[in-house]
Amino acid sequence: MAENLLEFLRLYLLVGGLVAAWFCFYGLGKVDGNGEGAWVFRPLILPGLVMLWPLVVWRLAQIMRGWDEAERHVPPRKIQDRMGIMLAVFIPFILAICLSVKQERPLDAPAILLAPPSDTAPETGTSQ
Amino acid sequence: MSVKYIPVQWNQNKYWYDAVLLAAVVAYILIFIRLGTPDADFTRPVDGLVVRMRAFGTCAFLMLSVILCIGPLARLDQRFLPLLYNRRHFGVMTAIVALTHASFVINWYFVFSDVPPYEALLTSNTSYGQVLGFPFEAFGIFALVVLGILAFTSHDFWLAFLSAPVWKSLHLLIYPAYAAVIAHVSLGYLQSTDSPVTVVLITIAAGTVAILHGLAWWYRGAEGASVPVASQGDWVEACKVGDIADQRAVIVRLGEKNRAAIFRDGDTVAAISNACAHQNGPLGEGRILDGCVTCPWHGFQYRLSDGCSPEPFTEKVPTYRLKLEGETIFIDRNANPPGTKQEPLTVGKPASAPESNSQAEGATAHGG
Repeated sequence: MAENLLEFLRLYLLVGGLVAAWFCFYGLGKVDGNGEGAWVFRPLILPGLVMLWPLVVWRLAQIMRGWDEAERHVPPRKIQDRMGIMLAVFIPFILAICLSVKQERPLDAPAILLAPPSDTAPETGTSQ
Repeated sequence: MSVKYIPVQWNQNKYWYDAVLLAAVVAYILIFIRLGTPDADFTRPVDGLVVRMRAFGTCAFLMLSVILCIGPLARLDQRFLPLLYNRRHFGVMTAIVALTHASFVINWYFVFSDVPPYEALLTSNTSYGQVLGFPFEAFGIFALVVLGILAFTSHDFWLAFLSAPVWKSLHLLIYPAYAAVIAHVSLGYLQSTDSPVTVVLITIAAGTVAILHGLAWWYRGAEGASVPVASQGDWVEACKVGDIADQRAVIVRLGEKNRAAIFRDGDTVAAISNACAHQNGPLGEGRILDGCVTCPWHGFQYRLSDGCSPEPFTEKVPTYRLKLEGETIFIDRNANPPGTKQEPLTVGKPASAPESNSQAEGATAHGG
C-alpha cells in the first residue's frame, strides 16, 4: 500500500515536472504579460507548478476558454468565515479528547542494553 | 504584481520585518536547545537530536499560531494591519522551520529501517482505529505538504495566474493544516510529556488562535449586518452624501457576493469594487492617498476615475455608475468591466476637514 502510494507520488511528480517545464519555457508568457522576458523568478515558481500541475492545467484551460475577468473581484468571504469558526470549535475539541485519554506510564525510563540472540552473537557482546 | 516579475519584491519595511522574524526564530531555537540536553547521547530518553527536533517543531507550531492570529487581530483592530503586510514571508519561513523538524524526524526515527525511510514513515504505525497510539505522523505530513504548497505558491505570479479568489481558496488550506498540527501535537508530543508547563503553553497558543477566530467570526457577522444591502433593481439606494467622510468610503453590498466602495474625494464621489485586484483586500476600508484609493493590506493603488493602477502598474478593478437624487446616492448594481472610465459625481464640498487615519500610513504602493 505505502509502496504503491509512493510510486503514484513519483509518477505524479514526474508528470508535474513535464508540465512545469513546458509552462516555464512556453506557457507562462502566453497567459501573463508580466512574465514575458522575466526569467530569474521562474525557479521560484517551479516547485509549485510541479506540486499543483492539475490546478495549473485547469486554470490554463479556463483562461484559454475565455474567462470573465470580473470573477477576480469576488472574494471567497463566506467559506473563509466558515473555516475560521470550524477551526475555533475543533481546537478545544481535539485538545480535550487528547488530554483526557492521555496515557499513564513511566516516562523518561533509562535505556536498556539488549543482549543479542544467543545463536549469532559472541558470548560477551552486547548491543544497543 | 504587475510590471516584470522579480524573485522577491523587498523594500525597507520588508527587510525589517524579515530581519526581526529571523532573529526571533534563531533566538528561540538556540535558547530551546541550550535549555534542553543538546549533548546527551542516544542512551538518554531525550537525546541531542530529539532536543533539536523539538526545538524546530515547537518553533514551527508557535510561528503558525502567530500567523493564524494575525488575520483575526487585523480584523478586530486595524493597528495590527502592518503585521499582515508581509505575512507571506512569515509563512515561507514557517515552512522551512517545519521542514527542518521533519528532516530531523526522518533522519533519526526512520533512517535505520529495513525499508526506505519514507515507506517506513508510512508503515511503522498503522493503528488508525485508536486514539492512544494513533499514528500522529500522518497529521504532520498533511500539514507539511500544505505548508509547502502555500510557500511554493506565495509569489505574486500565482495571485495573477490563479486570480485572487482561487489563490485565497487554496490558501484557506492553512485552516485544516493548523487543525492537523494541533492533532499532531496532541496525539504525539502531549501524550509523552509529563511537563504541565508545556501542556499549558501549547493550550494557550492553540486556545488564543481559537478564541481570536471565534471573535473575528462574531465581529464579521456584526460588521456584515451593518453594511447596507442595496435593494432590488439595477439602480439601488446606497447611502446619503453626508455618510461618506472625505477621502474615505462607504461599503455597499450588491447581492450575495459583490460589494462596492463609494469613495468621496473632496466635492466628488465615485465607486469601485471593494475587492483589491491583488489579494481581494477591502479597498473600502482604505483611504485616498496621493489621489488614489489605497488598499489597507498591501498598499496597492487605484485611480477613482477608472479603477486602474497608476503607470507602470497594470491592475484594474471594476467601476460603478452612480447618480444623485437630492442627498441620496444611487448605484447601478451592474459593475462596469475592470478599468472602465466613469465620471465621478459632483456632490459639493465636504462638511468637515479630512479626518486623520494611521492605518495606511507607511504602506507603500504595490508592496505585495
